Amino acid sequence: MSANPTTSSVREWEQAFLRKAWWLFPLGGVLASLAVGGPFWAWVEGKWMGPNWAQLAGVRAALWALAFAAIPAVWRIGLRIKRPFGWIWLAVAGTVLAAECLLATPRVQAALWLAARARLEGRQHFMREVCYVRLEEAAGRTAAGPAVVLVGSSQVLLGVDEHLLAAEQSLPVIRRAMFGMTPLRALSMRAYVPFRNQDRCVQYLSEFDFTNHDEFPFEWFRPYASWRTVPDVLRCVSGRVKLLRWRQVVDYALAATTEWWRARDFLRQIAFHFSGGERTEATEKAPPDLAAAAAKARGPLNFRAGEIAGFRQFARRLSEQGVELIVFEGGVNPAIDSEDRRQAKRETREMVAHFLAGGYGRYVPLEEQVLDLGPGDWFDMNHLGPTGREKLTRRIAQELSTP
Amino acid sequence: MVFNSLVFLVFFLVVYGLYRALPHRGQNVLLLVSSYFFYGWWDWRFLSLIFISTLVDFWAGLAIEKAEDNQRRRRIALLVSMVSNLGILGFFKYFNFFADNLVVLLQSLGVAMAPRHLNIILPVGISFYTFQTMSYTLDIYRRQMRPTRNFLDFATFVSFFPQLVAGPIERASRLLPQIQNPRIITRADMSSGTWLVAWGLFKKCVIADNLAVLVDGAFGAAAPSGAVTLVALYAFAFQIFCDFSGYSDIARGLARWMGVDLMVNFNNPYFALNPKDFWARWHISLSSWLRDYLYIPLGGSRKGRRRTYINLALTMLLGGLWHGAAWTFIAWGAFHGLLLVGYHAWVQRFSPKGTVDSGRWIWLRRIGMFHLVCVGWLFFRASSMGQAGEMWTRIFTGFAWDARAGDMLLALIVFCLPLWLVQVLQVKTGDLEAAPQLSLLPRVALYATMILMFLALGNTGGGAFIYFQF
Repeated sequence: MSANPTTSSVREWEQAFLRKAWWLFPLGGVLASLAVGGPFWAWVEGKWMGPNWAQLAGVRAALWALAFAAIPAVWRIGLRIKRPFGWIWLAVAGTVLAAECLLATPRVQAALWLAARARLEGRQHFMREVCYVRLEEAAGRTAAGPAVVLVGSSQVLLGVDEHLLAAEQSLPVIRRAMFGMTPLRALSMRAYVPFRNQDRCVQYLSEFDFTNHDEFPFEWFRPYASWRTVPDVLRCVSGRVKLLRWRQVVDYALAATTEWWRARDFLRQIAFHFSGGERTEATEKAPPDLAAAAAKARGPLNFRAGEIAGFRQFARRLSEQGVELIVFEGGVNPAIDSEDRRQAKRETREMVAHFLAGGYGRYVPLEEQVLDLGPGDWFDMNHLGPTGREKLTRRIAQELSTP
Repeated sequence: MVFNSLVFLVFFLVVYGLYRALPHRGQNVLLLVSSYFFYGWWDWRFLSLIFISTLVDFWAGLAIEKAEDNQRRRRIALLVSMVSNLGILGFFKYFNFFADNLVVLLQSLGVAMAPRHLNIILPVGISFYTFQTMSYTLDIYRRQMRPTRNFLDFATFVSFFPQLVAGPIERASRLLPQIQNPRIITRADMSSGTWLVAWGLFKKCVIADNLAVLVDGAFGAAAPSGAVTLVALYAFAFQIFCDFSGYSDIARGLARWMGVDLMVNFNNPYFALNPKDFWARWHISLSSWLRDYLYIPLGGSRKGRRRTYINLALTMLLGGLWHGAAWTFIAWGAFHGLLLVGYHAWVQRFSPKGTVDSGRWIWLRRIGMFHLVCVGWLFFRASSMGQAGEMWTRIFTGFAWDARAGDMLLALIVFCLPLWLVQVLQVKTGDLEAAPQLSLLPRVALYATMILMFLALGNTGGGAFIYFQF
């Protein structure tokens, strides 16, 4: 290979480059030393902090210059290897693996998710929630004892006051409820929920959670992909759906394998808003159009087998982990009541109660909740307003106090 | 089916597995069947068009040879080929454009005429394979090659799937013998093919598709600032280069895996020093086609200065029209025609011996030429002449640097940095495949960067290539 004239011209160019421009590397090291520390973390937060030029004469700058000066030295050694083909692929694999490990370290994770969160636009709710969850995971769970973990969709997110709940009973509260978190999605993100033995998981489920959802919510799956949960999720999804959406299944598997793929939407967000400059804020939310929402909510309800299977698998996994599952039956605004909805509610209740009775958890149907919710307790068709939230939170606290 | 999709990966794995197992004739049958399948994946109805083109040119080639010295018969056969090829191309690509403009013209002259707009779908890659198959007949007519008597070989030449929909536009004299003769696949072919495919995919999925977000955002905005417009224009220059040259690289790499050597289509065009140099580096297969089959037959530079300028302008104008049926493409072609005419006039006036191409101020001249090319891209990318004019005005009258423009510029640098480094290496060493010859450290750094950038930032949604629409 070294006898190839073009190869030798490339080698000659490399040698000439190292001879003439080796000083660029230590200089780069010195400049890089100015960015680490304060300026870097300011950038992470989307702010600008000018470099402290006095540091140029410091030890840190010298160490960085020394480290970068090693690059041309190693480069020169590499020039002596005549047939580097096998070494190349080994070294590439090692570098990619090292980059994967680096990205997984808590400090880099914190920088990544903080930087991504600082660069989100007002309407990117889901991505903001992902940043929250991933930052919480990067920080790790500090409290030693058991905790209450809130899981579920926006009905929980808006319907339960986590601070009030923590104050009303003795255990700390960990929020993992997010907009649109159906049972299958809860199962898919289980690896990012810090369950421990003797924790209590509160889930809030209604017919909304089991009907009309996307059968393979891939956008949700990707940032939470993990080989701890991918097999469970794929077992819950039907063969037909997996076949039809095979590209997304492949993508999901890749996301479970590497954080670079899993976090790609967020890395792109950073790349496109590098300085963290201008972002559009969320426009003030218009008051909900209750009539339109009611009309939409009265549409046909189709149960999703994947959601039912997802709920069951989630409960099984919690049971294996020694986590007590308490499922509150979710209510909806009486304004959208219909015969179809009542039927779906009955079926959901029977299915959940029957399954939990098998030793997987406790079920609290609406009758036992005795919340006495009036029309003024609702924010919209399926979310509670402030008064309804307080009622439900106190009731959950009461249930948690029951042994 | 696009190269940057999982469907294509599955398709290619199956085809390639069979290809390596088959003897030469079997490989050609497989190439033909798989190429028709590849093309039919978009719309199977358009297979008839490619088949008609193939049939007509196969017949025309044989008829021209059979006519021997009977010039009238030779011309008739050539005419049949040209009329059928250009007729199909003209109908599918240009009918609505010319019909609409005719109506506008007549209406402006006071003739009442209702617009006639047909719902025609443009068959993907029609301009590419039409030019490729036309060159076959033209070369036989000029007695530069002899026709093939094997229809299978000829059909495989016309429809060879790696370069079917976006080139390089191969000449029969180069590609046909490679189809006709048994192909030998060496380890070096596999290795260089892998680099070309990987580099092409990187250019398309990581650079072009991400820059598209910046460009589309600016060109779709109601009133972008002058700074945003300018950065978007730079971004488009690299988007279109990476999109198209990425396709060409993948095509060349796939072909090389099959033992076929396709021509180089791009040679670092943004390092060009002048308009002539640019067209010797950009879309080489089209520019050389236009030179050989249009510019030279028109008289080239043999009939005096004025005629040379007219020939240059006309060639570039038609080159612009080749890209699409819109005034913006015609303006783009006309602009490049003007640049070429201006350059030739400059050389003849100030530097008749060609000293203008000395190495002085080389980077300044490259930057200047790049900016001239960018002016052309404004016409090319704009949805109308009105938009091109608006954006041009905005750059010069509404230029205000803002955070959005800064972020766009930083993103452009982040995405393009590996490209620029590789291009500098290619230019400095004069070798387009220099990167895979680097020593251990820089090569590992490059490969790992490509892999990580692909994982983190690559668009894997199978975004269509820009040149498919042409």
